[in-house]
Amino acid sequence: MAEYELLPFDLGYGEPVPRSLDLAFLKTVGKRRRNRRRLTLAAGSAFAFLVVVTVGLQPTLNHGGSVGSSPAAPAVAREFLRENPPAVAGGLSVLDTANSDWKGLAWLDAGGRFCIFRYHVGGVWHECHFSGLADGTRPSISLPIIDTDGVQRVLLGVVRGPATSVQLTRFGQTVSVPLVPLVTSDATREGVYTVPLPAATEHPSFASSDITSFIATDADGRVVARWPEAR
Amino acid sequence: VRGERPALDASFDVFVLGTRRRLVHLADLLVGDRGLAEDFVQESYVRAYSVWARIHDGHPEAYTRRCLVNLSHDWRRRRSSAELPTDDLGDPAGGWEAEQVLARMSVLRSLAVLTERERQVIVLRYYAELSEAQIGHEIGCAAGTVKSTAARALKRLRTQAALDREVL
Repeated sequence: MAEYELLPFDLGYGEPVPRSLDLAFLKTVGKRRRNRRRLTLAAGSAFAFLVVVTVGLQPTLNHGGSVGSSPAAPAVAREFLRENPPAVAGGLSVLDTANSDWKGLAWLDAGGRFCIFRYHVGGVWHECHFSGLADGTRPSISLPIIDTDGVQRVLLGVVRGPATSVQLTRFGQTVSVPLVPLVTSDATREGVYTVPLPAATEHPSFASSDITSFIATDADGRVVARWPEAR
Repeated sequence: VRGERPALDASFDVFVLGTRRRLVHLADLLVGDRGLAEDFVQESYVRAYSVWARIHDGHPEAYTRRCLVNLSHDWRRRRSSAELPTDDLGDPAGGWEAEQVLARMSVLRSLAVLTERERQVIVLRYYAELSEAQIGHEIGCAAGTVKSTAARALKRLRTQAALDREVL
């Protein structure tokens, strides 16, 4: 203990032994509380799982890999959601890829911004931004934002219109990914695409010029929107 | 693991036996009411037991002490702000010698001039013998704040002690 100034009196007055304590009773109450807390935690986890599955419009959570997200992710997500709530209550869409290293949530906020919360091994990444879709309601594709954090670099963007998938050509290769529908406050249909980028060892840098085309198609294979737009 | 429970229970019993007097005294210094102090200690032990598997090989006394500090803080907050201090210092139950009662009364009267935060700091520093950093951790403030609070509290206690001497 460090040297402190002395108190002008002694705090340690003499006293009799405290009244007897019923240790068995004390343990019974403690045990009951522990069990109640476990039940509450289990119920909370079940509820959270239910919420995610229910609000996710395309909950493809069926692959077996573990997420291994940052332990702080739930707290960060709550804070981020509090600051940027979805325009439609509970309007979160679950983003899930074939890669088990990350998962994410996407939603549209009241200001019309497209918000992403992505959590992966070692951390979280979140952002709200205007999607850059063409004005009005006509079908269009936004150029992607790039998340280079974590174990897998990903392109994320929005498509407006009745599209169900997007074909993207980057680095000369074409990949097709499904669209995850976003919850909108009107009849407009919007969806999120997430496209994995090749490993950094193959292509250490990435620029928008590395994307040469986007094509959004509906369930019947009809083109809904494309980038660059056909002239 | 089922077989670990009796050993955990035994370690809890030992913990209670070894800390109870000290914690009751600490609680009495914080709240100035012996009966309440014993109730708070019991409640703190219940809380500690409910997480015993997690805390038993760490710092269980620090955890229990933090529960006590929180309970006393909640109790003070709940009390009506209109309540005025009285001469009633929580008459201790039986078994006390006259000198002990007088000594306790003198200490509690002295501590009564402090704010709640000052009282916590003084009690944790001079009775529990915690460092400024430990106190800061237990009451939720920076070590620097603990230091300045302690200095302010000591000054107030000395002034009060000088006044008492003049009266006598």
